[in-house]
Amino acid sequence: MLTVWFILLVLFPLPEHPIHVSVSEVELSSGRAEWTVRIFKDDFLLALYGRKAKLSILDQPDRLRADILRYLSSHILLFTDGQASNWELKEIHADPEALWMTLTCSLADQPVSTITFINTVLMETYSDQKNIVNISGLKKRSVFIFGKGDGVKKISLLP
Amino acid sequence: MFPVYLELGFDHILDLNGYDHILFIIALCAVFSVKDWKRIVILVTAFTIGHSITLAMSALSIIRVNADLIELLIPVTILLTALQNLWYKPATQKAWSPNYFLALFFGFIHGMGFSNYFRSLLGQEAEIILPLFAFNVGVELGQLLIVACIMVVNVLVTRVLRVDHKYWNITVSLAAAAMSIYMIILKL
Repeated sequence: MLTVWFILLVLFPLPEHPIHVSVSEVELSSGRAEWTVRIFKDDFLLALYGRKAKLSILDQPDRLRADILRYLSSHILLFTDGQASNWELKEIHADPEALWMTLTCSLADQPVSTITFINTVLMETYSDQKNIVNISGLKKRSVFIFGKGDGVKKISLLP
Repeated sequence: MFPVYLELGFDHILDLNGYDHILFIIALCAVFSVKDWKRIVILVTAFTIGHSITLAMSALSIIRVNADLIELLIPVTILLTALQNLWYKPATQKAWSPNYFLALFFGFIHGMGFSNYFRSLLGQEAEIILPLFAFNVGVELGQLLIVACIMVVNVLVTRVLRVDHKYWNITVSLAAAAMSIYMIILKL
């Protein structure tokens, strides 16, 4: 009986609805970009420190600013005409489930023809990770989904 | 914005890791053949109306759902649908009108299941109606694709392999019932 049960479990694992999603709000204004990303705490902890870390360390995320900035800077990138921007970690806000982290950077003052967005947050952790990015400050509000193998989006600002 | 949330809804219903929604639609369609397409459309539409209502209410924070309870109730809806199929008599088609209400009611439960995922897709933006509508359309399109696949298999089995439709219904319904019981036991 136990064998049958085991075979069933292997063949038909319980259906799961994992939520492997991050959501970002990007605000582009003249000479400045602000990127706020919401990541679920348990997922972010796994990406930052692996399985052994305790969730409670994210209760005081300001203590982890250096690690958080290092992770986000290597997974969220913004290029204006091919030039990478340097992020600063402006603020971290925690709610019961997730962290909201805001990055800012300066943009070139002269007119830009293309902006490239890269978002590979948690894609090394989950194969089904999806990152939704809402962008405002352009002619119209845009929304992109970044997924595995599809982590780069380019916007042309040429008329 | 519309295509993004449409894609998310479409992908969500077709995600094989969360096969319980797919199994429900399979159970819902088991008693029908291609010639009953009008009734299938009504049934699937009733289900869609149901899950759209609770998904919207949950997304707008009008109702709050206990995710664990909903995850348990979803296999119960599959079990009840599958058991109901076993008592299906094609001759008494009028007796099937209550089914539409049942599909609507079961849609309420599945919609609450979708809501956790949908809410996680929203950022700080105030706009919710358009994403909600697009997500629902995506779910509906995904459902229609599932129904189309079921009907193709149904035709292959009943017309090409010449298996009596009664046995198709019994086999599919018993398989769905067995899997739903297994899910209920594991979730209890």
